[in-house]
Amino acid sequence: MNIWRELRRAGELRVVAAALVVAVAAVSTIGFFTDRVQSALNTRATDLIGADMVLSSTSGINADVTQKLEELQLQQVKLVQFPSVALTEDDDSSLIAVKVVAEGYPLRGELQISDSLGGTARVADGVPPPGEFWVGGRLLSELGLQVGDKLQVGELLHPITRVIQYESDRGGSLFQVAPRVMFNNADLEASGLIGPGSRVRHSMQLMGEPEDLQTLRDWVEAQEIAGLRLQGLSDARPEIRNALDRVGRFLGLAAMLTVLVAGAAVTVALQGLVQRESDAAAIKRCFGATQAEVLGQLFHRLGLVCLSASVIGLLIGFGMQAVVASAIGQWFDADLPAPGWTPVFAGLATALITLVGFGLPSVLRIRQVPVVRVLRRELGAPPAAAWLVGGAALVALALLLLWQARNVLLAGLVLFAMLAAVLLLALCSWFAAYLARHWPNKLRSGVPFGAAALARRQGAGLLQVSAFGLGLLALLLLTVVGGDLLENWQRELPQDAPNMFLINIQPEQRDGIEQKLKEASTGPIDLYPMSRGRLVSINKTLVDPENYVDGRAQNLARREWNISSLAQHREDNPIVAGEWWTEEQLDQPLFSVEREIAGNLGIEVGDSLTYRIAGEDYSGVVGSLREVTWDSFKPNFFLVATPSWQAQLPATYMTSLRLPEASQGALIASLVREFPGITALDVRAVIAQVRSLLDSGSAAVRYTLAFTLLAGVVVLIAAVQASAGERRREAALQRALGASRAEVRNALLAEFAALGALAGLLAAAVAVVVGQLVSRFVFEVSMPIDWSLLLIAPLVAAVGVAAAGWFAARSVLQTPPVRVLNSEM
Amino acid sequence: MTEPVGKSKDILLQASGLAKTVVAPGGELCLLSGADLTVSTGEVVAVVGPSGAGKSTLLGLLAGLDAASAGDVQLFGQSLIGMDEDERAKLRRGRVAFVFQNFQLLPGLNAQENVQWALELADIPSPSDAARTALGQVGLSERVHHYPSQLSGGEQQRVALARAFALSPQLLFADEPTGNLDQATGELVMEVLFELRDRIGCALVLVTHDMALAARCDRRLTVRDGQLSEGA
Repeated sequence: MNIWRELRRAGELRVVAAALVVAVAAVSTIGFFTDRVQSALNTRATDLIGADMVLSSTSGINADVTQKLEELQLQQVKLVQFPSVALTEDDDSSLIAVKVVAEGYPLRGELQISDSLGGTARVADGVPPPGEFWVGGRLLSELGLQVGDKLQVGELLHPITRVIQYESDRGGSLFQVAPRVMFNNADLEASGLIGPGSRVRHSMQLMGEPEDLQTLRDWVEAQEIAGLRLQGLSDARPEIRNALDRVGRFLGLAAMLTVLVAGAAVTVALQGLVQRESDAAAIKRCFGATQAEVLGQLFHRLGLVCLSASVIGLLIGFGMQAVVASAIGQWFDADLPAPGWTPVFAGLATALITLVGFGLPSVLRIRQVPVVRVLRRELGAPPAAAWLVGGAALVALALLLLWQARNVLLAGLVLFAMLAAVLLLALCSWFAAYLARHWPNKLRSGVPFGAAALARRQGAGLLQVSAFGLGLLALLLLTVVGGDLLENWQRELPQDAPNMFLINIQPEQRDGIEQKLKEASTGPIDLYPMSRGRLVSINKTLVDPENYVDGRAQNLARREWNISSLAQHREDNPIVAGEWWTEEQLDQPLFSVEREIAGNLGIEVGDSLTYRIAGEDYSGVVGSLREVTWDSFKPNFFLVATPSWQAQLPATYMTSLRLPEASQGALIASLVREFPGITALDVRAVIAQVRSLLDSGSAAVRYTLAFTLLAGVVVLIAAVQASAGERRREAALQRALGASRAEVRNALLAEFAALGALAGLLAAAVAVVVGQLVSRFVFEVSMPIDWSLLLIAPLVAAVGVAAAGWFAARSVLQTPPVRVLNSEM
Repeated sequence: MTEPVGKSKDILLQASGLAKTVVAPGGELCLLSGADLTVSTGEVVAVVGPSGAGKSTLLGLLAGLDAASAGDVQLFGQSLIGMDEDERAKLRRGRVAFVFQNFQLLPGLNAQENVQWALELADIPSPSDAARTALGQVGLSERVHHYPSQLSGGEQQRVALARAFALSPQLLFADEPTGNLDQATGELVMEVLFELRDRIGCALVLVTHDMALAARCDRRLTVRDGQLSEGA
């Protein structure tokens, strides 16, 4: 049997095929993409860390460690990395990520460079010689520079001689905010960029025999050297792995929404198909075919449809993953490898599970078609039990969710959320249909007749509105509400919010900088001392990250905190427990801890805390807990101490200020020239970077959810098709009784427009409510309700659904009424 | 037409005490009761009666399409009582054919395929050639690739006749084969039906309310209020 002809002639099979194509395309788009990323991470593990093992620390590699490395005769290359500011000869500036390298870098993998922006990449045969900068292409684009131009970084003024195309140990440079500048270790001291308390990461790339590396690992773990991190091949870039794993899972779950909607289409279409096939089944049985043979023939056809749809879906998925990869492409420096075969099998499995889970109970009904239907057409297969259809679909969906989420709780939550959304939409559309049914309506033709049809076809209407509404809801939530949230977050920043941060100010630079800033800025200038230390004990009990269940608390116990001091209480940091220190207490070792971090670590007023700062332990007592508004863009700290306590610590200074935009560039240039070690952060640039990262992430999700909307359209077509017979009869009767073509057409369009408007209105209403809840309770941003959504979404959906429904049901008008009425005799 | 075939020849179909009752909203409804009948090889039997008398119910029970509430049906010497649907279907395969009032063609298949699938099911060699030959015999050589929706009612019924006779069945059931056709077309179709039956020599059970048609048959049985009796 020719499957293409089958598809041409049987509308239900076309819908099943379309639903499976959309489901497979959605799942395989994500599958292909995550497979490429995983494969990049797995195959380039050595590339990712650029060595067999890397030791790193913010406070430098101490002498004991260096001695141990010598002892084990491991090959070593030293790296220093930190943020800074680059300045052009035209006083344009940019935040940069500096990497200072020594001969031998990288130990594994390669560094690729070119002679110009966009030039042919080649493997570098060394590192930048002293007196030269090698920079990332993005810096050249951002500052409008070319190879040969001079750049100032700290006190260094060197020419750019090469463009970096690929750094092996940068691998997936996730959340790469600043472009790279690389220079030789011999220039580090002259740069004046490193001072006590600077935000610097010192690393040591290592290469050697596996047993020596293991010996080193055991030794480092036994020594428990504070702040020293060790990365081997197996734990290469865990932050990238975790982040991408999460992104992959999230996108996978979004794809599951598509599968759910596509599954609904499969259920509706197969119910229609079984209805249509009932005659054929009865006649075949009449001529001697067994139940198994009839069922087998149907399975055979569906199998072919499933396979063909899977292939098409996989091809679309393969194409779309390239689009997703390019949307998130800025997260990566290098091209991703080609995907493997796993997503192909995953796509096939999705199609099969969707078809079986959502369609099998309907298909099995074909066995129950009574043979005597050939004589008495009113006898058909009994409808599949609702619990069986729902149960099978639920099992299929749960299986798919579990597979994507790889976490029972997460899969359960998503399943619950999906079902809740479906139920809510179904309940609302049932209520709307109920109202329509009981609305006084004296006109029985044309538009009112069509709108009332929604109430007449209640079951199909419920499904249509729910499934289409679900697709629309997903899209609205992400695009409109998500966009609004970001806009409002930015709008919430006060007009006088600082637009520049200066960090890494050395104590001897403090007065000079303060003077210069006072001249340039209209507001007051507050310079805060800043030290970095790790919390080692609470009330003399050692802090062990493993003792905390909460991941955030574990992280806080492991990392270094920014510590500052204040004499006077700042009003934007309200005290929520305890008291701010008095004048008399200023010489005592007292702390004020941020409320949330205190809650995470179980810190209370009166507790004694000990911090390890530059190898020494310093203690104090918690006098108060403070509330901090982090997105005010003012300097804020987890721990604020009395000034006398901080005076004993090594510290740099930081400040934030608001500068007129016109003078900002010139001021940064002059500050960096005069005080080379400082780092200026342009807040607008950071917001722009964050926004761009969020945009690229949400673009990827939008592509996935576009499939959901497409699946919603397929459900709509399936449902229209399922009620096409009824519609055709109604139209024929209307026309036989004197209704004009225009009246019948208007009734049809009104029915679909009403359906679209209802789905659009419900989706918009739910999106608004969810958006408000998320903004208030998750992002803690007050977002005004966008009432226009309640008008625009129903309007757009009404027009879209009317067009799609008209396309699916246009044959109703083209069939002469007499033929329809005769065929029903 | 061949010579009338009497009860003395091989018995293909024998029903005794056949009854069918269904549960209706007002209680049990008797559609047929105590029907006795024998059909022998090559015999042509008409079943007549008013609408709703139980003719189609009788045909369904005789062909094993429906299960009887009481009594027995012996088809090709095998009792249908106790057989499941699949066993009854296998018993019919290739030996029993049908022509229905509403043609019962598969809408997704063209004329040739509508004949061919039945031949394939019965394992008849070269089914596509045989299907084309059968369509030629009913005057539809030029329409083998047309779908049911592209054929007139008379043409559709001739495709159904081709499907039935291509099997060379031993027994043909025809349920009001002209019921959906105008008189002229109905007469034409019946001419074809009788001509092919004569050529093959199969037994025919013809349900009709057309007394003229019934008169062309060897025997006439009447169903009235669920009771079967011999004669008009």
